[in-house]
Amino acid sequence: MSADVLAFWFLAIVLVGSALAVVLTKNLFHAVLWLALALTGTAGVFLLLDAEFLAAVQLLLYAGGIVTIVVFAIVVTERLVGERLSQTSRRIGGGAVVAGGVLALLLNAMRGQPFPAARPEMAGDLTRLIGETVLTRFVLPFELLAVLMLAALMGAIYFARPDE
Amino acid sequence: MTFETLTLLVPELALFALAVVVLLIGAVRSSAYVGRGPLAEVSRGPAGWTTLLGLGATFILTFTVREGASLLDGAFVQDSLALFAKRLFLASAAISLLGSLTLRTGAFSRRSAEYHFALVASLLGMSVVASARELVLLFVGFELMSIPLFLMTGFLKREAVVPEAALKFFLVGTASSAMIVYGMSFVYGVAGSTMLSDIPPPLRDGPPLLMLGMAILLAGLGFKIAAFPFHMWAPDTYEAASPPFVAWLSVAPKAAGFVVIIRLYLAGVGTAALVWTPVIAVLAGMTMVTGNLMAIPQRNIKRLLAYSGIAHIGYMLVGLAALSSSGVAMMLFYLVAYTFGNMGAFLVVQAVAQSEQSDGIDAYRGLAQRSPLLALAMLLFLLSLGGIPFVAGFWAKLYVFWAAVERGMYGLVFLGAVLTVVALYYYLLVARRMYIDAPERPEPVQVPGLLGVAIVACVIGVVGMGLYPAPWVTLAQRVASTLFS
Repeated sequence: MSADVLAFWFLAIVLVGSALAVVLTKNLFHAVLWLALALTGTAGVFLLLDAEFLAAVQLLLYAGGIVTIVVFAIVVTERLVGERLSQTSRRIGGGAVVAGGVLALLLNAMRGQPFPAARPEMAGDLTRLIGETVLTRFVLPFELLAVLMLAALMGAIYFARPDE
Repeated sequence: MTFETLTLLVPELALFALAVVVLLIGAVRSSAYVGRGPLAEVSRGPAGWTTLLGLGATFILTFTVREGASLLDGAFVQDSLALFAKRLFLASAAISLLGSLTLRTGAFSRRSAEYHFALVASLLGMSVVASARELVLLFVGFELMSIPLFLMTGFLKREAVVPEAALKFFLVGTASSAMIVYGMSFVYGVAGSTMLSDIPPPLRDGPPLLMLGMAILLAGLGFKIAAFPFHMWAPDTYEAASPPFVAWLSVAPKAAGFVVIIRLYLAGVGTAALVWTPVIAVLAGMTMVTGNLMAIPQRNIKRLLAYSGIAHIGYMLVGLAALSSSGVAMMLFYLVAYTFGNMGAFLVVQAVAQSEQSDGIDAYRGLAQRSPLLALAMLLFLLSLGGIPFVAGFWAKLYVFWAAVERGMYGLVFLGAVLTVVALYYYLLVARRMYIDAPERPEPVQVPGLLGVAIVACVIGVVGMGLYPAPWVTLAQRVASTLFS
């Protein structure tokens, strides 16, 4: 077993474990911390695949930005509501059955799927390549994302602001 | 970007420009200028009127696009299906706007620019979805279509049921988007490319992981078109939102979903797509059964129309299940007939709700004596939805069943025909309220002028397609034939 494979299995266990903890923890604040670990683990998977840029973006945006915002949201909401928020998972049995079913389907599908044994080499400066692709082949979705964010921002402001 | 690529994107660029202009109107509009005559009308709702004008202009501009051209190695195509869908989106949005322009109270007077910006942004998303032949573009388009819809659903946020309905719609919508992107990831993993043209046709002996990805994708799309078992959000959402918006919501996003289903599962695959027949046929059957049976006990007209709308999605899926050129053509015909009938019915609901402050079916008591023309319009819409001869819905159902019979799907057609009778029962319950029951109040229902125009447009559509369906059939067949060549 090479170092790559070992690292993958380590990350996989961390990822699945922390993801389960996010859903099952009662304490909402702890759930967010587990989420931060899960997002960091994802960054680790990107690193393992030699995608350093994506790993950095993942850490900065998700583990950094989004987790911070969620923590703020929880703290502010608890202040407003005046009680500790806790997470309840109702119908956990049904959820487990569905999740198990999807897992079985996936494993079954993967067994019949020939996968390439070796990962193709990534050539050149990846960050530069990503930048170029985004502004050439994927220029339409890239530009549309600007409109999408504007629309999402408008929606958030509309619901958040009090009526005059 | 050469000049030619820009001419190809004209409808999208026009919508984008319109969105910016509408947003700016909201920003600069200060004290209301009140002119005289028609100007006064316009000055009271500048964002709405600008949007209406812009939609008309964009509709005309769609005819300048060279049909069949594509962009970015075929990631974005303006083929006849895309242009057909775009015109349907624009026309239905204009009809819905005529209805919502008469809403002048509360949020609709203060925050009109936000509402209309969301409408145009969603339209831009739809029109990208209709043209996308690449997974990333498709997903971004879907999001751009959906997110403004959440804002529009919750637009009357101060009313009691609205926040809950908007939140439900938001949660279901995001979950379905997550499913779509999850399915796409498997498809990409197998195909090694996000271009639809590079994805191997999903055949019976195809890679199992690809089939699984396509199945998860289909489930995500099922949410968007509100097919069984992903239909639960529709009645709550329809009940809470404003009727002219619901009229559009019940038509345009579903049309966009159908276009994507056609592109992903049918186009260019030919008879090899037969592997999907049982899946889509079962979905169609279950959707028809659920929609029609759940509609019977409803006492609220919007919930009744929501469930009947789910049933209609089932009938359209019958056309898709035929997996043939004529099946797709007949489904597109059905889509247009459903657009006129369903939008018309919701606009009458708006007129009655504005005058009676009630969405109950009981509010329709004696409508024929109070406002005979409005009642007649509603009757025509209901008969069209029910599938009675000489209105559009009759041909739509007949054609869809015909296409399914050609494929030997007698069981599905039998089920559909039986359920049509069930549907007639609950449509005629409303008709009985209007025509047989005595009115509680004598005065007629006030219909604002613009709303009247929109209702008349839908009546013309329903009756016109019913008496003379040939041009629409020819158009639908022409659009469908390009997909199966």
